[in-house]
Amino acid sequence: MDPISGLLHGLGVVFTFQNLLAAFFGALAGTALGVLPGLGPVAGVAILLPITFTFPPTAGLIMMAGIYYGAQYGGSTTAILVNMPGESSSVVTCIDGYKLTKRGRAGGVLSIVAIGSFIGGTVSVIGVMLFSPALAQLGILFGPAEFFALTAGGLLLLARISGGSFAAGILPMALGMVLSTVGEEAVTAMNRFTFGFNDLSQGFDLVPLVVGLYGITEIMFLVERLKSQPLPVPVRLRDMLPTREEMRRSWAPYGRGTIVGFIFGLLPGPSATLSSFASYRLEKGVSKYRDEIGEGAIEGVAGPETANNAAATSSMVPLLSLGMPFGAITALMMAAMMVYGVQPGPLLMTDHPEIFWGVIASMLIGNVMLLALNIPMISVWVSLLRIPSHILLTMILLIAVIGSYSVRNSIVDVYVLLFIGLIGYVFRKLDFQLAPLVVGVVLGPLIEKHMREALFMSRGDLLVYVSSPIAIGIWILVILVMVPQIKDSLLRKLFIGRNKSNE
Amino acid sequence: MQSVNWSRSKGYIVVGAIGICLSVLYLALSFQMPMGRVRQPGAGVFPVISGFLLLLGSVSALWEGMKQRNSEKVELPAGSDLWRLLAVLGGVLGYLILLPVLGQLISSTLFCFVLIRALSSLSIWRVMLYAVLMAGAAYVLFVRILMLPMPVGIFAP
Repeated sequence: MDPISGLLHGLGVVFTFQNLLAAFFGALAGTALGVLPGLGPVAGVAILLPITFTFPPTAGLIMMAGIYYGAQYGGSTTAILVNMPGESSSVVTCIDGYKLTKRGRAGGVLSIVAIGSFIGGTVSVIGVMLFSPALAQLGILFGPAEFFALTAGGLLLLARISGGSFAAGILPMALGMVLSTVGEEAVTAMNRFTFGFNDLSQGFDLVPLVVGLYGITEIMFLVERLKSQPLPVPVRLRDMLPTREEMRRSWAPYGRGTIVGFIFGLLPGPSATLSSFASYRLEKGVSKYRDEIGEGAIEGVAGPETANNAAATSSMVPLLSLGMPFGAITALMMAAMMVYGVQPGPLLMTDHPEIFWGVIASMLIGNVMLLALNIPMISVWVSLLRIPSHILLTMILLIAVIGSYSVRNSIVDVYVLLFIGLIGYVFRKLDFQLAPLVVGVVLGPLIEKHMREALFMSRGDLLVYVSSPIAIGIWILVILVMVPQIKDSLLRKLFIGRNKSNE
Repeated sequence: MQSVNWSRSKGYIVVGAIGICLSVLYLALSFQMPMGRVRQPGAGVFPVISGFLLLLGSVSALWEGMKQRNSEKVELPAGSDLWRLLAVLGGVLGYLILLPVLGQLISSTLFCFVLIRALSSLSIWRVMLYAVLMAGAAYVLFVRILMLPMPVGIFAP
């Protein structure tokens, strides 16, 4: 199916009452989660995961995607109005956004952000539409050795480039892999590390793990520094119109933000956050008004907010086409697909075109819904910020516990939620990365499967892991990123060689 | 926030040391599993690899902790901030213990009561009212509307 007919097929899938409702509910819940401090998109998607299981697979995944990009929209609202980012990808938005709010431009800036997010998201969907089938075609050529290189190498890359020191990425990643080995092993059905607990034979469920790591940890941070939150300035609908000057200055950052965001979304790591920082730096470097950025310039808001939405959308490319989640949210979506009995990867497009194209088309519709939700309903979102913290935190904890229990009706899962929350708190205090842990739990079983399949099919030949150009290429990339000294010396040799030949 | 500063390097050393102990224990258990042959690896192979990676991560955390300067600090809560945090965690633990015994509705009401009390200075009547309303709303949404199976406890009909 070519991209255009695929999109038309996807639109046909989305335009059913149930799927439209799923997209709308996802966008609405995502925006609310993004606006509220305490639950970012990752914990939000995890908490709502049990609810999505009450829908058929396509509707459930459409809703999850809606929550993801809806949260990117919502996160900017708190950043702009109360100088408090709803999630990490809106951190840079605080710098210029809040200064513009203090000058009385809150409404206009929120509209600029909503339009930018719409443009970034929509253009990115077109990119997803064009890239995913091509990548899926390439993925069909992959055997166990290539998939092993992709999953194991991708996880190592994620751990290394997520930020922080070597230990800050590798230790959580390894812990995630260790946790993934608990439960019944796939080949011989042997119970590993269950210590006689039947509840553990299915392994750790991802929902309590993710809600604990992201939700409980965040709540612990909010509780320890509990203070009365500054009240947001009231924003009326008639204040939402941006000036002509603001619009004129935003077009170029929209374009640059879209490109930066789309590229970052294809790479391992916290793409939405990294792309917003990269876009901010790019604007500071190339914008005509770069001297004003940091002091309250519209470019410092338009670029990063466009980028994080474009990245949220394009991060679906590796998931849909290769079955590779490069971040915590896409890892959750992949886990959900497996619960539905759908195998993400190169064959998804041919085996389940309604899911592949339905999710892509839903992003197009979802972006229109978000634009309609964000501009006219701004006063509703602002009023969410007036909920007192004792009500908000209690409500979030209640939902977290009920959500974690309801997945498997297991009280062990709820203890896991609390225990993992404590680990997440310590990790965050010490600046360890949380995403490699989540992705490690999801990819662990796949890495093991591909590793064993490759050895089985090659009759024990260990060289099978480097037997194809694709696998070799992936491992070279991993080595260059993991050992930067090799990359540096290679670059040095290359440049010195060039300089000498020039002389 | 009332806080005490703790050296980040000490934090890395503690995490690294705990990680080393855990990985050694995990590896010891992994080596008891069948390893199979190269052409047909057993159930113990992947845990051994994961265990060694955990050991590597833990040793590097320990190493980084020893190499870090002592001037880098981590802010930890103290005084009333610490007590509030402990009260919330205690509330969650109590909720988990009571949930299978008292059922979702009653344990959620108690949980909301304890948490709102710990996080606010509202009068006891208002706290009670909020707790009942929130637990009731959660019950209607999750149990009645979404039909999620929650524990009913000793008061089951």
